[in-house]
Amino acid sequence: MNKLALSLFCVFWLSPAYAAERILALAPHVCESLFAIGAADQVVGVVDYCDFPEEAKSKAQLGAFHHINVEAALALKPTLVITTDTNTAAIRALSDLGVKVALSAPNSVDGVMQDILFLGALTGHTSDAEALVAQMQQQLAKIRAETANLSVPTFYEVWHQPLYTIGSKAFIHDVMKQMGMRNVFADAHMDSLRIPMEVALAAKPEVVVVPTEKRDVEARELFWKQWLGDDVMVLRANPDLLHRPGPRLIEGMRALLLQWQEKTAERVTVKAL
Amino acid sequence: MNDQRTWPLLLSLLVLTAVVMVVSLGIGSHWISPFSPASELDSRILWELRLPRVLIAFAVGGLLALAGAWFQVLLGNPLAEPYVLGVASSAAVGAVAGMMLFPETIWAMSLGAFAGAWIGIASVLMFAHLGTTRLLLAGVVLAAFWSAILMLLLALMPERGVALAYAWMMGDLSRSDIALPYLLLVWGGALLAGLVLARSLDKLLLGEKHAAALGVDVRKLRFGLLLLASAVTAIAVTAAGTIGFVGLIVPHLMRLLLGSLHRAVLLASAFGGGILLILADTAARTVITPAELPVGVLTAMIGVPVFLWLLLRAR
Repeated sequence: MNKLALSLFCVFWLSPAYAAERILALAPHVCESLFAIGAADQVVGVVDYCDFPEEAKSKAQLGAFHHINVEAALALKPTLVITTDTNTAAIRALSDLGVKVALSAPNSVDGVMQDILFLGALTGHTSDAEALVAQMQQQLAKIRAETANLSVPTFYEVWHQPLYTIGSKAFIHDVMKQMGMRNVFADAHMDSLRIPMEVALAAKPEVVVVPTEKRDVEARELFWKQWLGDDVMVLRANPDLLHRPGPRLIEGMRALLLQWQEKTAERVTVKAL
Repeated sequence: MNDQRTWPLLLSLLVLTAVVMVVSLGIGSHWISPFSPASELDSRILWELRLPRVLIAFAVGGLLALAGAWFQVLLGNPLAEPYVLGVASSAAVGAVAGMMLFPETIWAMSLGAFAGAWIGIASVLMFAHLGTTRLLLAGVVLAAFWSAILMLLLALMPERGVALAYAWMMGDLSRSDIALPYLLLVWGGALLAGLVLARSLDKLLLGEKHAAALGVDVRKLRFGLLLLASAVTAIAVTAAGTIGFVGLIVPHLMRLLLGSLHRAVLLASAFGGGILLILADTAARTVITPAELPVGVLTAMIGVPVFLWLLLRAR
C-alpha cells in the first residue's frame, strides 16, 4: 500500500490541474480523515456510523459498509470509492462501471499516519494532510516518551458474553503496544478470538481495557477485580476514538493513558497513606 | 427389553457420567485436580468457572436428548429433533431480535429466545393435525423460514452484532447469568415426567389404534408430550443457544443399546445427552487453545454424518 500511496502521490503532485473527486467514503475513519484534511466537499456518500464530525451525517447515506446500495451510490455519480475491503460485490460492480477504487485499511498507528497522507494525495489536500500528521506525530511522540519503558500485560475485552479478545493481527494490538501495554494474547495470530474465562486468568493481565459500549462497565470492573484482585487496573476506552484508525486515534490513546496515569497515581497515594 | 442387560448398562452410564464430569473438571488451560486444587485461584476456577459449565452442559445435553426422544415418538419419525423442526432456529430469531431491540438489557436475549421458541412451537403445532409426515415437512420449511428471518436481522445489524449473534447461534455454555439450580431442577423434572409417561409412550409406538385400545387417551398424550418437549427445548436453547443433533444421536444410540422400551431409553438419554455435551464442550474449549470453538460446531460434525446414515438406513 505504501508503494501505491507513493505512486498516486507522485501522479497528483505532477499533474498541474487537479480535478476534484466525487468520493464515496465507506468507513467512519475515512469520513473523519477526509473531513479533517479539508476534503469534506468532495465527499458525496457515506455509510452507517459515519457520525463525526456532525456535518458528515448530512451526506447521502448508503447503508452498511459491507452491503451498500449500489444504485443509490451510482446516482451520486462518484468518481472514487474509498473502502476498507475491495473484495465485495458492490465494489466490484462500481469498479466495473469505471469508478476508481482506493483501499484505506490501516492496521497500525503508523499505518494511520500513512493513510491520512495517502488520502491527502488522493484529494489534493497534501499540505493539510501533512500538517495534521505532523501534529499527530508530535502527540504520539509524547505518548511514546511517557511509556517508553513500559510493557504491562494487558487484556482487551472486545466482548464479555461470550468473552472475546484481540490477537496480534488486530489494530488495537498495535495501539496498545505504542502506549506501553503488552497484549497478553499476542501469540494468537488472528484478529479476534473467543476464549474461556480461565484462559484469560491464566494470562495474568495487570491492566484490563473495557470499551464503553453496550455493557455495564461498572459491573465489568467489579467482575475483573473479583477474579484478578484489587491490584488489577480496569480502564475504560472510548471505542469511537480508539477503534477507528482515523485522526482522533491519538486523542483516544491520550485519554486512555491519562486514565491509566491517574489510577496509578491514586494507588501510589493510597499506598503511601 | 432384556432386563439382564438393561440395569448393568444404565449403571455403567451413571458411573461414566461421574467419570466424565470429574475428568472434564480437571481439563482446561491447565490441569487442576478436582480433589486437591493447588491454590486459592485454582479452586475458584474449578468451582466457579468449570463446574457451572460442566453442569450446564450436562443439563442442556440431557434436555435436548429427552426432547429429541419425545419428538421422535410424537412424529413417528426417527429424524425428528428440536434443531430439525426449526424450534431452535425460531429461538435464535427471538434472541437476536431481543438483542437488537434492547441492546442495553442483559435479559432481552434470554427472554427473546424463550418467546421465539414458543412461537416456533406454536407454528409447528398448527400443522399437528395433518399427520406426522406433513408436520415434519412443515418443520423443515419453517426452519428455512426462521433462518431467512435470522439472515434478515443479521443484514440489518452492524458487524459486531453479526459476529456475536453467530457465536450464540452455534451454542455458548459459558453464560454466567444462568440460574443453574433451576436448570438442574428442570432436568430432573423432565426426566421424571418422561418416566411417568414411559408406559404410554411404549403403547403409542405400537400405533394410535393399538394405544387407544390399550386405554391411552392418544390426543391428550400427544398434546401433553408436544408441550413438554417444546418447553424443554425452549429452556435448553435459552440457556445455551442452538446446539444441534444431540437430540438426534443420543436417543438413537440408546435404542441401539437398550431396545425400545422408553423407561430405559429416556433414563439413558437424559444421562447420555449430558455426557455427550460435556465431552463436546471440553473439546470445544481446549482443542484450539487459547481460543475456543462454538460447541455447536462439534455436535454438528458428529451429528450430520449420523443423520445421513439414519436417512440411508430408513430408506
